[in-house]
Amino acid sequence: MNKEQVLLSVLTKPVKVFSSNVPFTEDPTINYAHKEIKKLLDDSCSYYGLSRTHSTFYLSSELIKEVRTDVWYDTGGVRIPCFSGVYVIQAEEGSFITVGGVSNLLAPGDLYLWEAGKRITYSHKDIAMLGFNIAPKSMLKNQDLSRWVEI
Amino acid sequence: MNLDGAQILQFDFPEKLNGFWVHVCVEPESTLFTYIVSIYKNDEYPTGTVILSKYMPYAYPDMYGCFDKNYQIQRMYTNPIHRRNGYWVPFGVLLKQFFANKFNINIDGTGDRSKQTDRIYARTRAELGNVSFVPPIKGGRIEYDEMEPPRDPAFPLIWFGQRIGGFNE
Repeated sequence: MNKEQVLLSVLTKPVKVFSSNVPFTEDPTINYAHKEIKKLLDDSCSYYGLSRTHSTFYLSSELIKEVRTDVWYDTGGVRIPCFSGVYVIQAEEGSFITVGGVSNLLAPGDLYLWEAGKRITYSHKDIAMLGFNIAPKSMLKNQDLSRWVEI
Repeated sequence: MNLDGAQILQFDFPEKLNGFWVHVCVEPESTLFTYIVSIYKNDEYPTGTVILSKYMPYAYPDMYGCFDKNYQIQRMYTNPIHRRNGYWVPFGVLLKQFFANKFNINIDGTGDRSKQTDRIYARTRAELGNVSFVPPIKGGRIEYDEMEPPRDPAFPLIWFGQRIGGFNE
């Protein structure tokens, strides 16, 4: 085990996926989802012992119209203090996502957040989501900040 | 030029590269890299589009190359679903000519290259008429098994978007 791996194992806790559900019928706005993501981020920072007051976190997202089931995915930043997540727009009944070996059912309005870099697989291809990433400003070098919003 | 100050150029790509467009992050805030080339195969831009920008793209590229201070390509990557299609040779030719014409820079391969990239290097040089040659380093990557590059090779310059990491077993 090299030094970097040792550091990683110290930093990385077992996979914990934080979840919520944003009811489309009650409040379909993105603002509501943003607030829910903020709550999940607070929980995640608390779980990983990260300061919410010393770091300003930013959020950005991409529309994921469909996924492949024969491959695995990951996201950038590769570990804390970066986080990744999905906000489910549409999913076939029984669809699930597996993040770092932990599976969770997917239904419209579901919101999941996890430490960045985990291996992600999907059970069904017809899943529409907003995939999002959260990172502290120090890790946004050369990113176009106009597509990131403070959270 | 768009509102972000990026230059958007249009080129005729060879037929083999239909569907591809290129983003070049110019002189990023990096102690290692001078240019980061992100190559995409999708319909976000027309085939042959080349964007020059100070920003790193958000989306993970289908192929990338990171150029060091000597303008040698230190990291190369191809999305697993696009491998073994021979895309790097025509891109090598295109990028060599593009950087020479646009920046007056002679990009090249690194001496510390793997067996796979050495084959690409040889084929690209042959296409270009055997131009400059950087010999592979003795005891370098060429003598070891092919390795998958790290996800974020230009860290702390990061592509954040979801990427395909590999096929499920």
